Amino acid sequence: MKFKYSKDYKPSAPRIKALIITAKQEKHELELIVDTGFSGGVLIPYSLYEKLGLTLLEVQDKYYGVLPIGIPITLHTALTRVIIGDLVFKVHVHSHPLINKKLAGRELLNKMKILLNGPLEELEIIEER
Amino acid sequence: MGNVIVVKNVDKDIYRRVKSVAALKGYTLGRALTEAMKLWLLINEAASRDYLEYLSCREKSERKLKEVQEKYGEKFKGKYVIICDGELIKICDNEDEAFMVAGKSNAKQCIIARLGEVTKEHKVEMGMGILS
Repeated sequence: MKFKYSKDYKPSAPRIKALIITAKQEKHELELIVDTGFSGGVLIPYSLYEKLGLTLLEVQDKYYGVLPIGIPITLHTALTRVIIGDLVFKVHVHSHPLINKKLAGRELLNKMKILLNGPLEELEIIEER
Repeated sequence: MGNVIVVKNVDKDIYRRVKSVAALKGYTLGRALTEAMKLWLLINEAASRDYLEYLSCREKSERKLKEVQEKYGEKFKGKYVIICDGELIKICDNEDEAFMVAGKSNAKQCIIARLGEVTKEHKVEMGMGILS
């Protein structure tokens, strides 16, 4: 399974197309930028988190995001399934109203074997670990 | 000319400061203003009535969950409880059933928790990706 890098970034950035299962059990397509510096599962803007009904699937535990400058922020966190091609993972989806990014972090990335083919600007998922 | 927008009543001092900071950062004024407008929208969303209502519901649900864990935690250990907007909705045998029940709720906010488990705190490194 291969995904072309996003050219919205300079240099281009690896991304993954994923389907996220909403509270109503529907599939919503998302483009997630691959970010190994983010240790969570998936990060989405709060407006999308609310739209997908993820406020109804929240977890008991508390998640604090630590910004690169060391400041902690409270994240809103739900647990849901994410589908990438034929692969299905249960991952934590985080959000915060002041964060407007869509990222795939290490909790999700570490479940897959991924090849970042920079010269071809292509991300390839080789097989499930 | 399709991308030209004329705006009246802009504070000239602020405009000059934005223009000089944008120049220092190597931004076009259009890019700087677009980023400023995006931030303004985000801040407004964070302070919206809907969001504050959601936060209050989450708080109520957390309080209720504490009560429920104290009352039923041992008795129904390992089962899943759904608490929506501060109300106990159902105790389910498995997580998938709990997801289905919570997903059908008309509530603003729900917590799905495993009975008998304490609330843990987790640290998530946000990384530099959120700034780019």
